[in-house]
Amino acid sequence: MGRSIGREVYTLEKNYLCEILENQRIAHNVHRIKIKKPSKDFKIQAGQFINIKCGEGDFPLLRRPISIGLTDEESMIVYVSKIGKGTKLLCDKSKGEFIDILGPLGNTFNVDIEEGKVLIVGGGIGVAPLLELTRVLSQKDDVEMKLILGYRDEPFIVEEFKNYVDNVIVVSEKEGFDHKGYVIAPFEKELRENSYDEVFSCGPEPMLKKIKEISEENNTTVQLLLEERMACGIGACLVCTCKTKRGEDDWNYVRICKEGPVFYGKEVIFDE
Amino acid sequence: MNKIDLSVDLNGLKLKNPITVASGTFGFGREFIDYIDLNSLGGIMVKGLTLEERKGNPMPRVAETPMGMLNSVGLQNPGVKYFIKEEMPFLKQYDTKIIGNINGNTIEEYCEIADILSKTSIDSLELNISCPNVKEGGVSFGRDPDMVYKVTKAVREHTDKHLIVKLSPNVTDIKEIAMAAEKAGADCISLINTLIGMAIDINKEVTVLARGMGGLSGPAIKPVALRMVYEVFNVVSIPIIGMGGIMNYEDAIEFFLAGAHAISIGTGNLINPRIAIEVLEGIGQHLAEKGYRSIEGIKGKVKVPSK
Ligand SMILES: Cc1cc2nc3c(=O)[nH]c(=O)nc-3n(C[C@H](O)[C@H](O)[C@H](O)COP(=O)(O)OP(=O)(O)OC[C@H]3O[C@@H](n4cnc5c(N)ncnc54)[C@H](O)[C@@H]3O)c2cc1C
Ligand SMILES: Cc1cc2nc3c(=O)[nH]c(=O)nc-3n(C[C@H](O)[C@H](O)[C@H](O)COP(=O)(O)O)c2cc1C
Ligand code: FES
Repeated sequence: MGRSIGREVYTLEKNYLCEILENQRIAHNVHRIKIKKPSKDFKIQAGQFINIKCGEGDFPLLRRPISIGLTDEESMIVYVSKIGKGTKLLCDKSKGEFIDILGPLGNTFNVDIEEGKVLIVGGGIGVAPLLELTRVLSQKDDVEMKLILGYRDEPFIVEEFKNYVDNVIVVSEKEGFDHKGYVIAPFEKELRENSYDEVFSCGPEPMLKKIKEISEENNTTVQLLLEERMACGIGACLVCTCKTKRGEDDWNYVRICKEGPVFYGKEVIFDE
Repeated sequence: MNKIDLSVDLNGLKLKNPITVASGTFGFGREFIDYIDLNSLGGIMVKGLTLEERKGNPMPRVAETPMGMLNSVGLQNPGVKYFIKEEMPFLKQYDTKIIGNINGNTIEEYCEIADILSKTSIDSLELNISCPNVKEGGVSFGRDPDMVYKVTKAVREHTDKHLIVKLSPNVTDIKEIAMAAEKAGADCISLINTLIGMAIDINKEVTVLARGMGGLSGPAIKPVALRMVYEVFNVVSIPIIGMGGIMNYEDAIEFFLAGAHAISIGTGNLINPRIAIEVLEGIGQHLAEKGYRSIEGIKGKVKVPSK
């Protein structure tokens, strides 16, 4: 892998070479990549991400942050949408190849909920981190879940979600699914008609902004997983910030890779 | 095999080895403790400090470009006083030199920050003169030798600390800037800061960075950085900390050959948080293989074949 000397001598706590166990194309430009965990005690939780070196050598230069999609004892699955150089290289990797990752990085969804009703809303590749969340919440007997998953066209990983929860509304801009259009309309309807204790969401920023507004109008707590272009992913360079409230009428830029990527809706300020 | 002495004396600032980490790419050190023993570094240049807190620029602040990256963080930092109270004690637990990167909008501001830091146990001050000078209409201090002289001299009169002047590469003649800094009393020079650049999204027809322009760093700037280190080495007698695109020990050796007495790693930390250690080990082995006993031995040894 063209690694520099000395690398093997040290045990690195959060830098690993991981084997790819499977790589499958599951929808147009979306891959499901199963990665072997570096060790049994490697613990990564819903909401966290890994920062992946997608190519060999210095191209592309920066790592690419990818959320954890699903985990079990031995492996972790990521869902990757091919949008550019890095994600393309990643999707082109085959079984048996190794990838250099940093992780686990970032905070986690707060799943400290023992009972109540939870509404989970995802848009596009933003559904990926919600799968591990759904798996974890499905283990809690008194938590009732409903999901709204939105896609531009062809839905993906819906069956995986259905392994953990029956109540899934599939939304697409294309004809032929539960709802045609965007997730916002069914979300608003759901929140108005049934009361929920907590909303979890991940997706494009305009969608998250709406989800936050509607949740607040309905007095429902919402956790949002935010994305921003990153470089280090470990909190060192300050390129990945978002605006959050500080005190009554002040705000601050905080690092999405370190203080986030999960924030409560009430903390975040979205610009116009 | 002869024992190699990797320590360097930068005109009063003694580093146990010539590896430092560049300002803005290493936070205040905390972020790296999962990856690297901070005791193994020669020095840490902390994130650029200003008198008051600075919130920084809007997103996006980063764009990847061929073999490099553009950043426009906009000096986001909690202010020098917060740094002293909340971050210095943490950094001071380690056996490495702490170098404060200072940034002002006016000469008075630079002096005030220097005053404040001089009362602490910080090991050195690095004057970042790439900031725009508010009083003189936003032109960077670092572009004009007279301004460089004035700001360096003023800070020199305000502090007994070891003083590094960090040069901006966005100038026509780096030599005259370096000479001005030396004449004004700088103990050491570090270079280069980022090169101003731009990236455009052709579909949206907007610049990738919210602020339009940003600072280019990484392997793309290494040839420029090396040339500047070489030029400056030939006109000043104070030591040089070379930086710009160092990604492995071979890059670092090039900087020593060009005249650097120590090096700094920036963008490399963002990709491989352990890079500093790997570079250090590589340098040791290279010097051994080449029969050098110290950095002093290899410094500036590059020959230009037909000159
Ligand atoms: C915390 C976090 C978790 C993520 N999880 C996932 C995940 O599970 N699955 C997944 O597929 N992706 C995820 N992403 C997004 C992923 O990191 C980016 O798609 C990836 O970095 C793009 O790299 P690239 O080299 O393929 O694209 P590039 O070649 O760098 O860019 C291609 C195009 O996309 C644009 N672009 C690149 N990155 C972003 C961005 N972050 N926001 C907006 N536009 C961008 C570029 O401007 C360019 O137009 C996550 C991002 C973050 C921050
Ligand atoms: C994200 C980022 C932030 C930076 N912030 C500062 C800063 O606050 N002060 C400063 O003097 N230089 C700053 N720099 C410049 C670096 O210290 C260094 O001079 C430059 O990046 C060249 O080295 P490199 O190619 O190894 O990164 C920053 C660079 C990057 C990439
Ligand atoms: S990506 Fe560097 S601080 Fe978040």
